[in-house]
Amino acid sequence: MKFIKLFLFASFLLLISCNGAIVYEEIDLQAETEAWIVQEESYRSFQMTDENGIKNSWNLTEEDNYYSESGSAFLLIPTRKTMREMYYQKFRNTILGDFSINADAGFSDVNPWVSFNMPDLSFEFDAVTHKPNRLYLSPNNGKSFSWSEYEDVELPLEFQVVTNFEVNGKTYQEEVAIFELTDQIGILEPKSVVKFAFSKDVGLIFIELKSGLKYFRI
Amino acid sequence: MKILIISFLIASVGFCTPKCDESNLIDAYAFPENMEELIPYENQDKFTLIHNSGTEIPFEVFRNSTIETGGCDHCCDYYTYENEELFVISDYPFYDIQFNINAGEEGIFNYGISIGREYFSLEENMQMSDSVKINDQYFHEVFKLKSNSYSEEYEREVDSLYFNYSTGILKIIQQNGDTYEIH
Repeated sequence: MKFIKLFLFASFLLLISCNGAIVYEEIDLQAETEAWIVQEESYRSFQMTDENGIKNSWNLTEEDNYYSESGSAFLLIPTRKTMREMYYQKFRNTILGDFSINADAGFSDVNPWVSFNMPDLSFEFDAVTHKPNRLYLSPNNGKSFSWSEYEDVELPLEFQVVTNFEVNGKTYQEEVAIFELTDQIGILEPKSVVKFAFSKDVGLIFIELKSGLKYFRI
Repeated sequence: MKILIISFLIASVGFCTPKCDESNLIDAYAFPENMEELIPYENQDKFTLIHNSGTEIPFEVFRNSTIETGGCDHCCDYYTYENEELFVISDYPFYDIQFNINAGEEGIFNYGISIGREYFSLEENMQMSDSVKINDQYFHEVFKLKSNSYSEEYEREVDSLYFNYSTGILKIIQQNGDTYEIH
């Protein structure tokens, strides 16, 4: 009896170790998610102005559209390999710091998501439900704050995706993601970003710092 | 064959091990005596630049004076040199501004100012303007510096810096035409 069990178990291991037992999965970015990445040539370099008329430039320094491999295993034997598509852009601003956006195709059981990295903050939201997934604040003073959908901590921000968003006399027709920290948790610096708006149409359109200084897309 | 390999290994270890019993100071580069006259700011000095839109941007300067050590990687000899760093800080979002001045051989010194990603170096015998009018004030012996930085990765943002040794930063001209002038 013991021999039969051992034989069956060995056969099972042999079966799942064969390539045929591995489930391969490729998850592409849905058009809705990929639309958060603005790919027009004119977007590679753009300017914003603060409310006092002082202009600053954003330049695309990194861009990558690739597949990230991940997998699962049973008893150290791979059972599933997932290739999920990602799209990443990073912009440099010598005065305010770097800004990056990453669109991730997600998994078969997890919705795709989009993440923004601004000076002093990192934020991720579900690209289907538009609900926040994660927030991380890390001002340049050694302090930090993190929140995720799995934590029982009150979310210190408001996030929504709207259409027909108007700012500084301009109306943006496409979907616009609006992020605003409601409770600044007392750790942020005057130059930390506390509010921003990102349009599917042209990208970053509005930034507000904790000091109250506002920047608008030109 | 074994003896050959072992000898080679021992020799290699011998060559790689530093043999300095003591380090020798071979030179100590100092600033010329009049150096203070060439550094326009004291520690915690304040000044203001005015953007062409009229916005005033206040700055504060922090100085850090050190004596640094130099030398080659596997040498026992080393030298020291006087070094001055000036950090020009503003609460208003602006380019990082930093002065780096260090002493070299025979009274020569390197004098550079970085603004954001641009670097402006002051060379000996550099031409200067006798008198320049900036924001309704006349300044003398003014250097009109162009950025020494070059990169294909980004567009130049700061085009020129007007500077003199007595007042310091007089004017910054951006590539987009914006200007910042001394108050």
